[in-house]
Amino acid sequence: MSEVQTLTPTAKKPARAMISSERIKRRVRELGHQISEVYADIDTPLVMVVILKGATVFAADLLRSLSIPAELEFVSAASYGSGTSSSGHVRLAHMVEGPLVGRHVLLVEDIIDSGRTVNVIAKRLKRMGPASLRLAALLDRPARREVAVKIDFTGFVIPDRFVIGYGLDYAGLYRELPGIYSLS
Amino acid sequence: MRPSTAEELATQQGLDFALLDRPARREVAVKIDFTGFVIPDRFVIGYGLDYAGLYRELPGIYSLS
Repeated sequence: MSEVQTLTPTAKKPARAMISSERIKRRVRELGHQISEVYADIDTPLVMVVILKGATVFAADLLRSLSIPAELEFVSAASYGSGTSSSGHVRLAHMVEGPLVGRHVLLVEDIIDSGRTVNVIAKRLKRMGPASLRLAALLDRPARREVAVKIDFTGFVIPDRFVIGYGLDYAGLYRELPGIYSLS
Repeated sequence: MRPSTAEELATQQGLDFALLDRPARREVAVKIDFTGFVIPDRFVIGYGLDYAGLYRELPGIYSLS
């Protein structure tokens, strides 16, 4: 990983991005091709299950880079407990609407950190009887992993920095930044 | 209650953004502050809009007629 630049939230012009929008665009396109190949022979449309809210920007671009038919579902998970502490439990606030029995499901997440959120959601989805379940993550931050998670499609592996942009927020803000920036 | 149309959603939530405005079917007055495109009375898909859950991935907007 190249040198990481920091962003001052008050700065009018952000510092150089940790991952530029051009790099993200290229990588998402590659992931789209890869995913389309893996699912080339399935006989029902793929179901993309997007984890709110951070993964929406990634999912919108990923969806449009697929060359296979896909449906969209959303799930919402909230960690609760003490603040950002990863020891908190995960509660699902919204689950998928359609039945997933016999369907090929691709879970889409912005960043895999402790792995707890995605682990809980994957367990719940598996109980719904899908034909297959895979995971696509834009970012993988392995430094904080607590639960083993197999990521089938990874955008970028990043160091242990707090990141914002391209859907990822700091206190609800900065999701609109086209690239990914680190706050440190 | 779950909104079943964009108009209902907009009314419930005070939203006034719309990618598309299809005025031909309007039943409730809606003030759209930011409109992407005004379109004729066609069923459209793509750029997030679906037909039976599909075609959301199309990069442009297409009409099914």
